Amino acid sequence: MYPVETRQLTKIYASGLLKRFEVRALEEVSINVSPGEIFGLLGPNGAGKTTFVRILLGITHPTSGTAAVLGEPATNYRIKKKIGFLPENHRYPMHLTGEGVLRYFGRLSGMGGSHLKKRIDELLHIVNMNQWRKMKIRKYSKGMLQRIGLAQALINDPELIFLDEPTDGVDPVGRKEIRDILKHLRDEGKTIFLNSHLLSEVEVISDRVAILKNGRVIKSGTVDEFTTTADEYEILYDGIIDDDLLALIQAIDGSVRLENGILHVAAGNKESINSVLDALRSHGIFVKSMSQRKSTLEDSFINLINEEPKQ
Amino acid sequence: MKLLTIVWNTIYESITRVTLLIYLAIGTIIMMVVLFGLRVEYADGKPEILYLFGNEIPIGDGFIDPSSVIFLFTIGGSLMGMMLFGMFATAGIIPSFLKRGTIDIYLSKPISRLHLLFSKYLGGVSAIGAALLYFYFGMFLIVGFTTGFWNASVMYVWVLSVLLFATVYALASFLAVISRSIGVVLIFVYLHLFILSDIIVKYETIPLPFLQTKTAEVIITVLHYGLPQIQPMVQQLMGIFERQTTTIQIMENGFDMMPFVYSLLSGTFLFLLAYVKFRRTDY
Repeated sequence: MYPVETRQLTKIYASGLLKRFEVRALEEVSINVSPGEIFGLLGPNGAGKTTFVRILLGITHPTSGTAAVLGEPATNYRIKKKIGFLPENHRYPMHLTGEGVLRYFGRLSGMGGSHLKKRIDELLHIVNMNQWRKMKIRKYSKGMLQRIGLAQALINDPELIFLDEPTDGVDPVGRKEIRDILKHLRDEGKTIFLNSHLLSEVEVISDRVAILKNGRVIKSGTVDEFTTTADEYEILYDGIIDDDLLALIQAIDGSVRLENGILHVAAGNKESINSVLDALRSHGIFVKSMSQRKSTLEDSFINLINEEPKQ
Repeated sequence: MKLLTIVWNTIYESITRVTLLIYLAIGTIIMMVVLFGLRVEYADGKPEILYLFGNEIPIGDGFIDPSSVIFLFTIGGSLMGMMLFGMFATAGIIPSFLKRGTIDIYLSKPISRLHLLFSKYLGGVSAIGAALLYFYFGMFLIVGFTTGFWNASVMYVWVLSVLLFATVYALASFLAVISRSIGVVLIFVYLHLFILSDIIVKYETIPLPFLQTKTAEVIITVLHYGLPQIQPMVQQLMGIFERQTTTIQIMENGFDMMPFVYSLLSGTFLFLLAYVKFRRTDY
């Protein structure tokens, strides 16, 4: 059983006065998320990421296809006892304190008594909000609201957690803390479904990712599959490479190019790389390091988005 | 348990709104006026003359219960005001609950959509019910202690007033689910409260030709049974006190429960329509 399993999931919104215009938010999306993994869903604005999560939570109804969470149809509200959700731009009742928000939504998740009280104390410590627990949330900053939101999503100790932009508005230290919390949850065996625009963050913590564009999955796989090593070496050096020297090493290997003070050499011909290094050294250039260049998730994302023709 | 949690939170949320606090403040002022403005003169241990800020309210032949006069002017007189303020204080409950960022969190919890909507509705009705209880019970105590007349019918009127509000709030809930706008809710509910409900009752006497057509008659009949019957309910509530003020039979008929029954049915129907829309809507 996959914690998240969709088959040919399609969502078409009708718009216009007579509902004559169709907006295809999702087109036959099939995604499986394995237990205990962090899955990142990426895509440009309007790609259908939020619609996908909303269908999985029963907030939006699919036009066709199936969606199951924890082995149950997404429409079964009882299964949500085992699910946590942090929506983007969440709004909590402003008259409540941070602790009150957790108590309220804990009760709505079916919790109560000393178990809930203990869980609230535990979570306020985890998200580092204990000292502001009695403050009305209308006085909270964006980052504080995000921390309380994360605690709210975890209040029922869920098996499956959906997080939509969890680090939105959080400072770098806070972002690191949230990443650590998510890694800890994964180590505990929880499954995390992450929607985020911060690709560097998704790259650091996700096990697998999928990229949505115009409602379709254009690629999915492990993070390593997205961040493949390029056939190129980067050489960092100390010294000055003038035009004459550059012409000399380009004569040895035609692929050599100088960009922003870094020498790039194609990895295809290992003999010529050695010759390039020898030429540099013989002209008094100190080679500090040489490494094979790795593309980031962001590079892959941008390439894929630009490659795929618009629908 | 979950239902009560939402109901209690909705009441708490309403209390923190200025409009409901204004309503409670106005109720308190009326109670203070009665407390300090009411004076009773006794003869042979029985109240003989009542003064309200110096104005004499005779308790003699014909007047069987002076407390009813006070209730008629205070509670009866504030009924429509209560509707206006009550609706203003609670009209935002469902539209704000349906806003993105809020509805997502509620719908991600293990609660059915019917329970969610009903608990929000019940929360709004309970908030106004509690505010009315404060005013009605406060008046009951003040008038009772001041005049010696413990008129328990005020609590019966409280139950019916809450029922009246509940039927109007069902209309408000329906409009809120359809439009998700506080403005639309207030405009249409006030339109019904202060104009449409009057037209429905008196349309035969209004000298406008289009109101005398067969089509208009059908439309008005549908509205009469499809919407809460505000004017007939208010008349029946006022009648409870009016009948008590005098031994002279000024009310030809007794209390008529039917406007409340019809309104309860139409309120239930409107709430079910709201639920059907809520269940089918994508948020």
